Amino acid sequence: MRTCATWERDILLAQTGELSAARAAALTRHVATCPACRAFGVESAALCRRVQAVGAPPPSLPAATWARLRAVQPEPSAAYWSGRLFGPRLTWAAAAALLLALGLWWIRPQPGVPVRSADGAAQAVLVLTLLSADWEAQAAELEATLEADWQPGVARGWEALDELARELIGGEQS
Amino acid sequence: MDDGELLAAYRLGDETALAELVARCRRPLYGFIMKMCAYHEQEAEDLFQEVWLRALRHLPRFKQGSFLSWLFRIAHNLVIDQARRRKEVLSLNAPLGASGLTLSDQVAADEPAPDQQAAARELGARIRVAVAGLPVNQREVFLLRTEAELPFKEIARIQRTTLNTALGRMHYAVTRLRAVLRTDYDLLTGGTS
Ligand SMILES: [Zn+2]
Repeated sequence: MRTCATWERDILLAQTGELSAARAAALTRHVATCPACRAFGVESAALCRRVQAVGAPPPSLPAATWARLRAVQPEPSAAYWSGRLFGPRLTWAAAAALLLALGLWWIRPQPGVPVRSADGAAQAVLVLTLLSADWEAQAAELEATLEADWQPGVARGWEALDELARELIGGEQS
Repeated sequence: MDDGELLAAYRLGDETALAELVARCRRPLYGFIMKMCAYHEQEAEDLFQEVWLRALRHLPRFKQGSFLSWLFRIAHNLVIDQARRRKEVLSLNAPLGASGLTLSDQVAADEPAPDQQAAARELGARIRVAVAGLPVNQREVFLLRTEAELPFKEIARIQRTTLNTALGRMHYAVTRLRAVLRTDYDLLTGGTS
């Protein structure tokens, strides 16, 4: 028996059009008989609209900001540099080697720290995952992390990898 | 023209295309940043500029998909750091930034129509305080949903988490806001805007 809290999550998904047709039909049947979920639907939608309405930005961009944006010179594209330096195949090989090195560095034994098998397993799985069929996508995700902000991005990249590792071994979740 | 066509025009040197793109993204992006920054206007304006500077510098790395989502991915890193650094709790009568204006002052300035009830203004202020009081992760999901109108799949990607976690955070946020604003439901759902 589903609780209203789980139906409420379906209501939120339905509001973004992300609920499957079958679940949407079940939700419609539940809401028809449940005043609490109906109220949740109406009030959550109203809340979202109302929050959006408060605090609109000043309509025009400050002149100094616009001047800075106009002056930006985009960096040369990654394709340009990789093609020039290595060719695409070699670039990916270098990226794979780097990821492997990072993985090995990460699972290195620490002096005086007992090896925890769960951590070791998670890290090993992670390294394998990064080198699996999907590793190009994983690398692109990492690159996206780094592109937005280098230093905090590195820290968050490790956090994300750590979280992924925990999910892979079915461990705790934040 | 859609965002992709405007980007293509900008890449060919068309500044009006850039102006159009910035204008198009201004409300959702600025709204998101400002509400994540507890309504500090100058800080929000600075971060808005920084997001765009980074986006334009790294434009060759943007390959496909929604340009707005990409901007929010950049904004995520900047805003989360800022929000975590900020320990203060938003209150209605504390001065915000260098202007010395309080949240109550800002709300009054935002909604100047004299015939609109004071009650609606106060509701706006209470909503702001309630949103600013959400834990950072929940607040971000809530604002990515309300300001950017992004689907949960995209929000999860921005937060680098699972769809279920993002959905759970939204559910907590809405439940909490409903509890805080329990006395305002009639006003909230009665079409006051
Ligand atoms: Zn129900």
